[in-house]
Amino acid sequence: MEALDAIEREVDGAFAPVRDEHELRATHARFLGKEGSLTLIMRRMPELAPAEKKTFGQAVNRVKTAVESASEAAEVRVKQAALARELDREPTDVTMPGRRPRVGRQHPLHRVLYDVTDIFVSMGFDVAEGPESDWETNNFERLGFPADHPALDMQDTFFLHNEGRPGPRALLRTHTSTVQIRELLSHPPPVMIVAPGTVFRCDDDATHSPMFAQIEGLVVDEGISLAHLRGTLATFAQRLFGKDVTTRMRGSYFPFTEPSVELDASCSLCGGRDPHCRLCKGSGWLEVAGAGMVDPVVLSNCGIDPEKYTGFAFGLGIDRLAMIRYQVPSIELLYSNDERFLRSL
Amino acid sequence: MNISYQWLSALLGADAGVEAVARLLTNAGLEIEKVREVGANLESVLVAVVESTRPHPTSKNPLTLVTVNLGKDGSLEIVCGAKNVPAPGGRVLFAPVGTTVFTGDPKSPSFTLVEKPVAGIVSKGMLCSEIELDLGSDDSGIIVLDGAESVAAGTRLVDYLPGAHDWILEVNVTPNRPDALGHLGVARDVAALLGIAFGGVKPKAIAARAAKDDERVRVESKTDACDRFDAAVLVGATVRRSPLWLRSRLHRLGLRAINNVVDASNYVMLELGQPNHTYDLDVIAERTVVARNAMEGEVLQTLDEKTRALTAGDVVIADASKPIGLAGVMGGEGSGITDKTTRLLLEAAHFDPSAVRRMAKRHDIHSDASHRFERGVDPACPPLAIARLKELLVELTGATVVDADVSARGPKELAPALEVSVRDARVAAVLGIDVPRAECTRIVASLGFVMGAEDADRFVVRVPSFRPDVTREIDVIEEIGRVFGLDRVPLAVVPSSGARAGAVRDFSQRRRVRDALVALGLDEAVNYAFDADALFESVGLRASARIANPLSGDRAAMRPTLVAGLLKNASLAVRHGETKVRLFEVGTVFAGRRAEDLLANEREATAANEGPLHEETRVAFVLVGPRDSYLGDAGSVDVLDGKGVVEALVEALTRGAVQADRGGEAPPWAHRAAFARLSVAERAIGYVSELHPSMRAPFRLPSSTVVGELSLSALLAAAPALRAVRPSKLPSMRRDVALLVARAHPVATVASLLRQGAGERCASVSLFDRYVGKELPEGTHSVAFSMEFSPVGDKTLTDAEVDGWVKSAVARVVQDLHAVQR
Ligand SMILES: [Zn+2]
Repeated sequence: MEALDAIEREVDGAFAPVRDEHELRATHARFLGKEGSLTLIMRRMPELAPAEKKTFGQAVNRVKTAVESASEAAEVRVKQAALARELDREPTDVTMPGRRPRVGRQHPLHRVLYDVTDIFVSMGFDVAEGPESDWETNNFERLGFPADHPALDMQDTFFLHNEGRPGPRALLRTHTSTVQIRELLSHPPPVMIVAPGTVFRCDDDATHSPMFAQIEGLVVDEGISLAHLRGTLATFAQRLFGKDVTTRMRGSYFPFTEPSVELDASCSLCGGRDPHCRLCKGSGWLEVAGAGMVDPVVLSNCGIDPEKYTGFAFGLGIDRLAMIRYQVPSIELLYSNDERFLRSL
Repeated sequence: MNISYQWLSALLGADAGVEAVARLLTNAGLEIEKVREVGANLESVLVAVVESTRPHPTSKNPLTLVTVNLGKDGSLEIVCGAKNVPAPGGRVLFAPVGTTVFTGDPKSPSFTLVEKPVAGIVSKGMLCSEIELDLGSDDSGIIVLDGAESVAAGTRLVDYLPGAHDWILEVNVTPNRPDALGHLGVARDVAALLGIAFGGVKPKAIAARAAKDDERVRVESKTDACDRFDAAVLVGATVRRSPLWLRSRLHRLGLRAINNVVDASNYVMLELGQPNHTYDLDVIAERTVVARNAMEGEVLQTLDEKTRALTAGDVVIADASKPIGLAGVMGGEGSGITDKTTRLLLEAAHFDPSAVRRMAKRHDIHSDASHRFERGVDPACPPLAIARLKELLVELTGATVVDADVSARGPKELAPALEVSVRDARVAAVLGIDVPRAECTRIVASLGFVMGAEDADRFVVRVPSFRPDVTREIDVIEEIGRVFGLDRVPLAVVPSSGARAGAVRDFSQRRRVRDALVALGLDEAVNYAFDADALFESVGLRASARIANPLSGDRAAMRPTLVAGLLKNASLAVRHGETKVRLFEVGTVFAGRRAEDLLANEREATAANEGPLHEETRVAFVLVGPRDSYLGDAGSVDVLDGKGVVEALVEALTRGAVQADRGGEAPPWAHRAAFARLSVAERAIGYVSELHPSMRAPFRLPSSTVVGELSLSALLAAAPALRAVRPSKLPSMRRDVALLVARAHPVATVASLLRQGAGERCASVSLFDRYVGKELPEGTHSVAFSMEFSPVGDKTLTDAEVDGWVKSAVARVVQDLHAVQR
């Protein structure tokens, strides 16, 4: 019994200096391990007289409980200390750069092209496309361009070497309007498409690039009027520039539409209130699209009855929209592929 | 086309305001690109009468001190440097201090007059030249008003010269509107838009005296290209400088004043849109003028002092012996007006638009006349132009009209006026708005159309000769729409038909690849589809499709590859100091079609939505410089970085597995020790390689330059159908295996043998370490693979069975490749 008392007196002192899990386990084992002092005493129990056993057992239990509770208290202390040590380590300098994967940049022309296409697709248009090289038949004749007429000068054309082949001249398409012909020849109306794509003009100066991007729209069905054209482009302008923009439709000329119009949107930047506005140059209007009712001759050329069907068509310059959105100072930058330009957007 | 607002208002007899007129015209299709105010500075300028002159007392320069009478402002003495100061009584123009005067120098075009001594003497203003008042281009002396003896001293210039303060409207005249290439046609549009009556231009009738025999001319058209040819004769003309009103009007509209005869001719062109010509009658051989086709071998010296070799396709105006003008394009030297001319032959003719266009193109001349004739001048205008010319020339030159007018017709009949029937229902169907019949007929009548029969649902109009663009009902509807106001058309929603596109290519595929490559950290380039041959040759390729009329001779090749453009872009970046480049492009490459290629037929190809060239969409990229790393050095990119881009791209798009080999015909830019042909599902999709060493120098690119080029359709063709995996609830097990093996055996072979040897539970074998070192036997490397084993069903894998599979896997490699396990 004296031995038990001695052990009991030892307990608190033994656990007090414990600092970590390892010491904790070792101290616990000093009392209750295979060779622990309490274990050894308990092993002597069978030697005792039955009368003594009960009192001794109670005493052993009392000491054992003391060991366990001292151990648990020490464990809580050790874990808190460990947690504190981890949290109190030298803080990471979070002003160091993050480890990150490189992020690529989509070309601004394609960002705008896809945004514009998505707006029209959400309005029920499907996407059509044609080749970038074409013939004068699809680029001019079937679109109703008069032969030998100054209207042809509106679009300076790159012709391709024909290697002496007979037939219509091959060229790089000057507008995505070629897709009007290809679409109208591919199936009977109704037709409701947009045709984004690359076009070419023999023109290279501060405001023109010999290659640029357009998106063409074409709707042909029974009962289509200029009001549908205006409604479509007004919705488009509001989705692209903001819901407060208004539109204006004015007369124009394209050989393949009659009547031909230009559709302008009110300036989304100044609302027409700034005479020095960088966007509208003080006019209050931004040109959105050249458009019009599909000329009956275009429908006839594609085997469609212009008495039964009417339609509208429009064309938008993607480059100009990209220049407006990203404040690109000159068109040549769009094709410079200068990494400093590409990564600035 | 420049339009004077003052001239327009005078024709209309109405002043509706510049801004209102500009807005109306713009909305109706005659877009006003710019309004230029001119002559605002003239409000303070006065007509001064010279009283006396004396030389400057001290100046060595020839300066004159001129005392002028300014009426109620009294007299002033002004220093003047001009040599043409008139004698006392002469009328000159005085600009007081505070007036804006012009220099003619584009660098500092104008300044405000201040009191400043000139050679010691202070003037309160100056006597001005045309340039200084921006009334003309003459700077040889001050303006001296002719025939102004009755003008009181001190009269304001703007009262002496009505319209001196003006607004020039720059009109963008579309090719369909030749009628708007004169003030008359624009005025007609404005009248229709304002809803006011407009009487047109009505010249005074001029009495003619009987012509003598040597004042009669013979005129004839022998060519279909000349419908009609009108001529008249004036005698007793004095050729001299035009009065200020005429000189300044021409100047402001962009024409140079020459003399009263030529200026009158130009004035009539700007007014009516009818080009016309004046000849010195005394140099016209046999007083005979003929419009005829040129003969091969004839030559003509045109007014621009160029000698033109004529061909049978040219149409000339000729006298009895030789051509004297290129019909509708440009007059000839030698028959023009000189100071000595007294007898004038006036010409106003109509020429075929296509014939003029072909001549202008062939001779590379773009003149005011050809610009108008190409677009279609009113064939009924020549008599009006002749009458107007006579009126002006009598006033300006003091000439007398003789009774020698002739009007010849060409061999081709003039086309009769067109009649067009317009249905009310069609007007509404096209414009989307009901325009009442009365409004429709008011509009077309105000535009000069003549009303014909009407019935319950349609009306007929006769098209005026000055509107060659209107031939059909739809054209009349456009006229109604643009004058009624296109802005009044309401907004309507298209009822969606749900129709699918028929002409389709690879729009969505291009988009997916672009999105994926951007997500992989590459920047997108967009290069021109054409470039110099030298660029493509620098990567060992030749273009097979070419532009016939390139912008510059060296940019005629349609690109056969995207790689060359990207290398050029990378080169630019490196030159700018960039060390790391990651660029891609998705675009079209071009090739000429073989002659036997049936798609070269236009109709067939159009039906197949193909073009004259073979077009293929490619996906290409270039990587230059160090790998992505954090603070440390992760080495530079090599061919395996390029392969990794493709693997990741394929994984992102189709989840197909990329195989690499060294087969096929590698592109010329491939490095033979570091390239791969890549395939998905046994189909080659393209090549990736370190750039061929001999191609680095031209681009100044480092050895760490990796390029790849793939076919978009091949890339996306091999998309397997995807099936979801049901994940096992039981853990899989991993074992690592290190082997010493000859480097001659591709790693893919080792991995494949391990997998075969391990049996079907082996889910993957992946290389995770590789070591090459001197202590290893020559030609070997140590490769370490991680093998993953997956349980099937609910049976947990045991260590023992996995160890057994690994053992047989290793045995297989040891046996087949003489590998040694480490
Ligand atoms: Zn604005």
